[in-house]
Amino acid sequence: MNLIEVNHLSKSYDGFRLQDISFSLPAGFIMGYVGQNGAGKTTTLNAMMHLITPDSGETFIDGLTYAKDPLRYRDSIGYIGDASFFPVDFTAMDIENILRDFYPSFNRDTYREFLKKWDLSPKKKIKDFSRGMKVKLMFAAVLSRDTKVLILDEATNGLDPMMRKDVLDLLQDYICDGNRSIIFSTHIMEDLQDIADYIFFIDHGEKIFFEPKDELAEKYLLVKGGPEDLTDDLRAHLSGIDEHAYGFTALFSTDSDYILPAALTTERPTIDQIIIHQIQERRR
Amino acid sequence: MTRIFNFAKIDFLRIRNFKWIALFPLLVVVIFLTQPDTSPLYILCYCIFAGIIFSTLPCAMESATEVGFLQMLPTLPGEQQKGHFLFGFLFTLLAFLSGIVSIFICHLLRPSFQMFTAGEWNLGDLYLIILGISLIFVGIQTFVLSILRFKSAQAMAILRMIPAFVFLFGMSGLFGEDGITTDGSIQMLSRINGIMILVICLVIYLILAQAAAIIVTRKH
Repeated sequence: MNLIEVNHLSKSYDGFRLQDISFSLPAGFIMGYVGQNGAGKTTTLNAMMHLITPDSGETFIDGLTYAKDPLRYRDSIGYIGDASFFPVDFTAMDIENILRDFYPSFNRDTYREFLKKWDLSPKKKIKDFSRGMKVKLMFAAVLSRDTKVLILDEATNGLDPMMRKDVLDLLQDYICDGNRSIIFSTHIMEDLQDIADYIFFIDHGEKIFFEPKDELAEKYLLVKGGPEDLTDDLRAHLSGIDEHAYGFTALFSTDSDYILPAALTTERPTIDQIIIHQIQERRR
Repeated sequence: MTRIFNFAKIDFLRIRNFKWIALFPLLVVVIFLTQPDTSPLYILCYCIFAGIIFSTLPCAMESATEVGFLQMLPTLPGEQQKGHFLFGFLFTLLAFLSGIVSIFICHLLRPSFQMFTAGEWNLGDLYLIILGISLIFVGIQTFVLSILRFKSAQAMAILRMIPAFVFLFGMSGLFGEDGITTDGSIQMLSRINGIMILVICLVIYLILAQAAAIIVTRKH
């Protein structure tokens, strides 16, 4: 059974339209949600959280919809954004009090363990925390509850490499029981390369692809060659061609019957490279 | 109901940094002790004046990101607004009680200062009427701030001052210079049972709270 099901989610603003976004994610998996700034990632996540009301479409979390049971729906989701959303004059202890009041599944001992582990002073005001500390506090708040789904919106931006590694480890621990899933929106493709199972790529509010990461990597070859190698015939079989003074790089579909000239070098593309070349292809 | 209380609790947490407000009644007492023949009604009104201003401070303190955090809590739309109203009610009640305590302190320090009578007038009823009227002011203010979001902090600050000043000057106008005029509007009010006026004001306050919650729910 799919833990997350998003069906035909749409939302329009002045000059932007999120168009018919659908995907489903089984329990125990991490989905990377990628796209450029303004592509519609945060709009999708906010619509899923019902922080904004979608024009159409519905999101199911473990079979629940917001319309049917808003309290359990919200309780089952943990959200971490790119900026701390806690009142800045509050302390970690105040946050504990709020979480304890509102979330039945909140575990105070777990929360305090996280504070201790990450050296977060319970009595220090959040405005005096560093960016990394604020992110840690958001993780502590979310991981101290019994959530089914974790939604991360650029949550690892601005973290030092060690902290990022800690966060990625935490995410893998989070899903290891096979009952929970994560949607991870990020610009840092390296993170997705390490932990994502699925990649959803959105551009201008439109779904471009939603694929298992490993299959996605199998679907393309990254082709490199000199300027003289880029013939019209070859050009017709490549996508997202990036031309520069010394030659070009492009994606080549492994489904194609076309035989690449021997002079070209090929390699397995990273997720980052696939996304960049896809964007270039769409801009053509 | 528990969630509404919890939201009101968040509002109390927010104004925790403004502990100095507690000194305000003391200041009022000191000022009034230096002025003989002052009506206790003014002490009450000054304390409530501060109460009206600070009753909507948590509303005004919410930043856009914090709103996101509060929206994400597992609650029903409108409960946060009701929490603001509950906070406003409790804070005004606190301001009222601090006013009564201030009057009591004035009475202790200057026994000629009467707490509940002024000539033929029963001030007890008038105290309740003042509390009721102040709740209407707080209710309207909270209603406006609940359904409108102001980008300008200055506009918000000015808006929050207006009802308190209207209340203070309005009450001064009703009382007259010596505390109670013999032919002022307060005379008419005092003939009505203070508890009844307070109950009517409370009902209006609850209607405003419910209306704000409905509007916010529809917006959502």
